[in-house]
Amino acid sequence: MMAARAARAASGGSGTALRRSAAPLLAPGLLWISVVYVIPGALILVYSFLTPKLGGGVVWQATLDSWEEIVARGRRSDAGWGTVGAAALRGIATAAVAAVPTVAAARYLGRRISRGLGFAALLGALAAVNHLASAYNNYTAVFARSVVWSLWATVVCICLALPLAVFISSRSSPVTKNALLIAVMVSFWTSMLVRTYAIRFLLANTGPLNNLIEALGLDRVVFLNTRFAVILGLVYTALPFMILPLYAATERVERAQMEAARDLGARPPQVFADVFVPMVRPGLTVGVVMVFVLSVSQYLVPTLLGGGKTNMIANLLELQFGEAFNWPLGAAVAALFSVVTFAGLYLTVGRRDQEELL
Amino acid sequence: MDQHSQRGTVSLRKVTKRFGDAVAVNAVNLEVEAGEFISLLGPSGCGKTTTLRMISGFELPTEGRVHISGRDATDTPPHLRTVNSVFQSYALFGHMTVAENVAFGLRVKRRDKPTIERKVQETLDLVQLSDFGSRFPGQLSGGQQQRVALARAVINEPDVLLLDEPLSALDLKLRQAMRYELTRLHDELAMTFVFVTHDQTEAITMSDRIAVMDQGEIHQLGTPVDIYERPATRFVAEFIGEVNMLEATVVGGDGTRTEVLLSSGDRLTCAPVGDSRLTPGVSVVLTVRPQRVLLTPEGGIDSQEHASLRGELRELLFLGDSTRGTVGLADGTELVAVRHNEDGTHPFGTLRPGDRVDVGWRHGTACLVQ
Repeated sequence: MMAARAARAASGGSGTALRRSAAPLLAPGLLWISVVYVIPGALILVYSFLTPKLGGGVVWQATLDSWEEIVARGRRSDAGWGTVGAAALRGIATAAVAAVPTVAAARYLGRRISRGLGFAALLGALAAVNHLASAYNNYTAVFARSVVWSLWATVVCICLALPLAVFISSRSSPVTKNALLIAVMVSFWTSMLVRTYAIRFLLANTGPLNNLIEALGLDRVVFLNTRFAVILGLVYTALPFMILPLYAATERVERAQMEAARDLGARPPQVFADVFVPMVRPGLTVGVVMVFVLSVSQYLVPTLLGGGKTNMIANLLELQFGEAFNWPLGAAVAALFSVVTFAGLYLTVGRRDQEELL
Repeated sequence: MDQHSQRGTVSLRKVTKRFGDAVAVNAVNLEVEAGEFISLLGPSGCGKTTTLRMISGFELPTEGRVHISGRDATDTPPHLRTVNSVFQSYALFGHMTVAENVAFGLRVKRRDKPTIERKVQETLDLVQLSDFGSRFPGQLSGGQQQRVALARAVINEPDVLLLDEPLSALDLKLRQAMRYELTRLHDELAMTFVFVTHDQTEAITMSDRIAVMDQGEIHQLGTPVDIYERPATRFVAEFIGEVNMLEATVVGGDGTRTEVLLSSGDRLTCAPVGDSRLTPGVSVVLTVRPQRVLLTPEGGIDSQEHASLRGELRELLFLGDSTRGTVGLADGTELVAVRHNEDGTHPFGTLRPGDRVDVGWRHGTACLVQ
């Protein structure tokens, strides 16, 4: 990533000739990437076309069985049209309710109304998908659930990380800044397994949180094995990956530009939307991609906080590679999901942000 | 008073700004007239930028009131003030094109699209960037970015345009061109300009009036000629141009003239200085510009119209367009005379270092400051 950007900066953006002559220098990096990413990726794809061997592994005999199985399991329905209708209704209701604040926000920020409506529609679609994903338990539902929950985690991470990043970068003393940044990273020092167990302990039916709730005179709440617990775990795990790039981006925000916007008549929310967000956008993009990719492939969190079974994609993979000993099917699921995730990111992350990422 | 007629005025009334214990601006009073080009001139840390930021609203005065266009704007947030700023670093929005930058102020005020487009083009024409609307600020030179910053501010037709050292990031040649450009814009727009600078040349060449500031206070407010020819304080005299400063004590005088005793032992009559504060015994500094100092062989100065002193020529320095002579007075104090070189002859005749000379100046060209 950095190497490519440095090369671009050095070439001053002038011409591909320089970049071509730099190709030999890039060779070790490219070799590394191919050993670490391309070859294993290709191997997974190859395995998905092989025959499963009893007790794990593959028989080198080509077949389309795994892919046919995926299609079949993706379509298998354990809920009726009623569920679909309910999901649609829920989507429409969500969009309608969401439209009020989003359109108001669009008006307030001087944007087109259609942008507000579009955002409301997106929220509605997500709600509908979410509803379907919790009603069904076929492969499509697992895919959808992984994506929606990860999106939720990403949104929550943005909401938590943005004020925090601004807070850290607005500290005047570098000592304070470093101390806060270390505090953010300190969670990396403990094994993720331990941390996830800790959350599990906190949220347990007889855990501290529920004890507190009971002490307040309320009924105990079931947190574990719910969507709430999984998303909380995803947020907890991925939050530093949102804070750090956002912090780096907010550090580069020029106060003068925000003041200039203010000076030109922009109210504080407009300054935020029109100047601040575009300026931190590169960092935001990095954070979004990192948090989403990390969350969508999470295994520990859905297993320990979501009750295992087939919560998210990683659980499905575990099931195929572990219990079912169907490696080709697992490989096919992994390959398909990688392609879907990559295509999704490619389509949703804008051109300029993609350059920023590379 | 009629508010309409006051459009474009700025009035600072006993404005003080403290940052913790440090006093950045100390009880400043300033009345800026409508349509005036006024400069706040002073060294860094003198409080000029803080003063400007209290007009734009980015700093709140600790004490005192700020009036803009006849209205008390002290508690008005920046985005509601009828002023716009040009920032030292330009502060252009890098993610927007030049046209989008210029349109920003009108867009956030929800002006209709055709109006915005028309005014953006007009304003880009005004700053001679007609064909640059679709470029991004990063693709422009420093001078062009400067014009975009100007266009982005003036398109809003503010009552007052605030400029915070807008030329300091440009190289010398561009700076000179932009000086002319700013003066032209000021004439065309008939807008009040408040210009902050540490560069005396900028202030002197462009301003109607200059407020010279130091340590949070305005030392002198006046036209460039006033400031240059009749500095009110020692700081002003020292800060603007080169000046000779002679320590002296007032020994007498009346309403029109003041007699002083120089540290060199010479007695001089300064006329017409009728300052009531200059009572006998007060120590003062006599300031006189080197260009005003005559340098002749002994006895060469008409003492009726001139103040004159006796000394020894220590050094003659040829500077190309002028020659600079340094004279030592009786007590060793030095006095500098500068004369333009004309048609190749030596401006100080046959004088050579070591010669006994007379130095002097026409009555009224020297100032006494405290």
